[in-house]
Amino acid sequence: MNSGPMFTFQQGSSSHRGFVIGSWVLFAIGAVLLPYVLWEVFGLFQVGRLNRALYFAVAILGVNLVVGYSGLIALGHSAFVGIGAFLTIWLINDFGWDYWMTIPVAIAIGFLVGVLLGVPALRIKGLYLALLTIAFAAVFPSLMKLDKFGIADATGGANGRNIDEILVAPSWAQSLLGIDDTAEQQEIYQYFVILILTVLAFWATRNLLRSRPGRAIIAIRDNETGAAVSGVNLPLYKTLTFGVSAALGALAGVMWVMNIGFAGEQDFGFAPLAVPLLVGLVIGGVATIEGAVVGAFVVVFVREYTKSFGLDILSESLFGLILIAVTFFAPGGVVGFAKQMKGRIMRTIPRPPEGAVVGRAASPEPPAEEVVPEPAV
Amino acid sequence: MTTAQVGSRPSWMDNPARLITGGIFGVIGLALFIYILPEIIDGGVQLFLQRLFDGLDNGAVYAVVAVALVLIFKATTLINFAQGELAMFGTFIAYLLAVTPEDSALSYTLGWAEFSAGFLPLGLMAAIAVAMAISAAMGAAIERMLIRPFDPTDHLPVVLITLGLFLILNSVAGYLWNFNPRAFPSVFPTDSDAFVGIGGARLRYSVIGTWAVLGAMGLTLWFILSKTKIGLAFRAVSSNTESSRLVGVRVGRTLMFGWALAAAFGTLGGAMVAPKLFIQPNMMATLLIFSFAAATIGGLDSLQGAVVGGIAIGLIQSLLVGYLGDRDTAFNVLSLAVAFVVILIVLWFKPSGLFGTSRVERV
Repeated sequence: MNSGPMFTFQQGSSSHRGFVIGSWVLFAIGAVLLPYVLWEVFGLFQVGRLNRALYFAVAILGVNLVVGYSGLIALGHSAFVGIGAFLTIWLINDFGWDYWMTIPVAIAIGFLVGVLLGVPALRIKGLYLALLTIAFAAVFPSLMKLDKFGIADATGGANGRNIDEILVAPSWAQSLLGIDDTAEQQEIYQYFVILILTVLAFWATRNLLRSRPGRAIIAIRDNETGAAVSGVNLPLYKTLTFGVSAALGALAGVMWVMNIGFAGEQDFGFAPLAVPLLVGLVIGGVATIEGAVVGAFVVVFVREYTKSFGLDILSESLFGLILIAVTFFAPGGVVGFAKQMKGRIMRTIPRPPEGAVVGRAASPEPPAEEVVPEPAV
Repeated sequence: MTTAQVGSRPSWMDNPARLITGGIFGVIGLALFIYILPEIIDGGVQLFLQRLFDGLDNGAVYAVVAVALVLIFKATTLINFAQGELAMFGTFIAYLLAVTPEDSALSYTLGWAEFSAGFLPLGLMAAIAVAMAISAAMGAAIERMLIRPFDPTDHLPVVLITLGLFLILNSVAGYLWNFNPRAFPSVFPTDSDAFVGIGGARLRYSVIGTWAVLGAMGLTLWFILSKTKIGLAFRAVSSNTESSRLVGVRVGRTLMFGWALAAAFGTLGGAMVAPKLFIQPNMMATLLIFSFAAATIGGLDSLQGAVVGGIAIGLIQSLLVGYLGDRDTAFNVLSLAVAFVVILIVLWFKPSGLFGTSRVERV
């Protein structure tokens, strides 16, 4: 019955490159067209959901970095998103900052807070860390409404805080995107801003994970003692992971404000945010980069749809069922499953090392021709 | 800095970094104490005693739920994040069994059948007992179906499963019984004069009663664990699962028993706290965090530690946050933060808590 994959690609061959480039081009075209299609078919409201899914993806990527790649069960990422969001509103409203200036600041502050909170994770592990971080996520909202040290003034306390000026497209962008200056149509502009930031965040994280620090982080997860013996600096890399993942969370917080223009402490609690992030991570696939996107879309749209049916209580049950079902039947999540399926359809053979003899035959095959392929769309 | 040492653990004093962090925490604690000292003196003995009794009151409930957490941790080295919601569910069952329709005006549809509260005219005590039995069955079923298939040393799946249960129980309860808080009758007298006056402060009968229940629970646990066969098996499994399996202990059944016991005690704790908090699906959310803190102080695998931790957390909460709140009302929101800081400090300096067994990792 099993006759192997239908297509086989040699890595580095022109057909493989064509496949890779082609799929990226398709993906890019889809990402550009998607908001317009949604706008045409369902209205601008759906574009807002799309934006939400995008920054959820970044936040989930942050959770994934710690939970999936470094193997530390830290569940308090809702707080990092909250820090990014409140910081943005505070800087823009009270100091007249620009949206663009808040991005590096939020990322830097998020990184610092993450490093600080990563320090306990050096000693506290496993379930204990899960416990501690859940408590942290539960505490964060009440800290944000503390009417002391100016915290409640900066965050709006229990009422939350609106942004004074929403993110509006400059005129050149308006004409480029084909939108006018009404507040609703800014969703399209916000989509592209958020999309670019999301792509940058994913690209940076992917590169981080494929480089030396990434290998160290994964080595720590797989065998901590082994990694330490091989010379991996455990404290450095663990706190680094926490820092980067918190920075991603804070970036998601900035995008949250770009999209919604509001932040309220109750949105950043354990049940309202940390749980959906975790559910998204598990649905998409733990320790997969693409999984963060898939999970974010599932979480955001499931939640919005159950809400629109007046059944928002049941979205929680649904999340719970999904958590249990995925853990039981598909521990790799959607992406893990898709990778399995993809393995049946196509296979990529890794490029043989330099100078290796390919195959058993004595005559080596001619090297793959270096032809720039045309995108096979 | 290696992660695992064979044999000796580094002692407290050898490590300058820990000494410094410990010093920082100590200085902060001292500063806090000096900060609230005027309030304590101003408030006088009566207020102090009252705060003490309030602390004992909360502490008893934290202790009951912490004992349930510890039972599961001892048996399976897992933390059951759904413990609070299981207790909430059990408390609702007790409520439905005990409260007559005239009391509650509660009726609800469950699929095709329409029930009204109090469809079994049981006394409150009997209703709580039946609810405990039902919770025990639920706990056992959860262990058998959802927990046992997974390797307990791999933490993430179990965290996900118990969090999933948390979500399901919470939202199903919200769907069936909605989120409006309802008054829950107390087993103990609740009249305005039901208290013992000590130094002008009121020690309510319900506080004494809750502590009596806790004591009875402790005795029951002691009896089960040290005098019965399944208790012996439970202690064997919690001390060394593999060896007890080899000598013929039926590990699965024993763990199921542990979960059942924990669920039953959780429901008991829920029924104790419900008259005070009112009964609604989110009643356990913050209580669970305090109980986590209590269990952590005691050491997550020590039953008597859970009780001591419960008292400690109850007292810290009512004294520290109470006096801080007197000093500046802004601090009234900080109750949960205290629990978080306690968890952090204990896990940081002494992960085994006051009474827990410390684990030595072998390479």
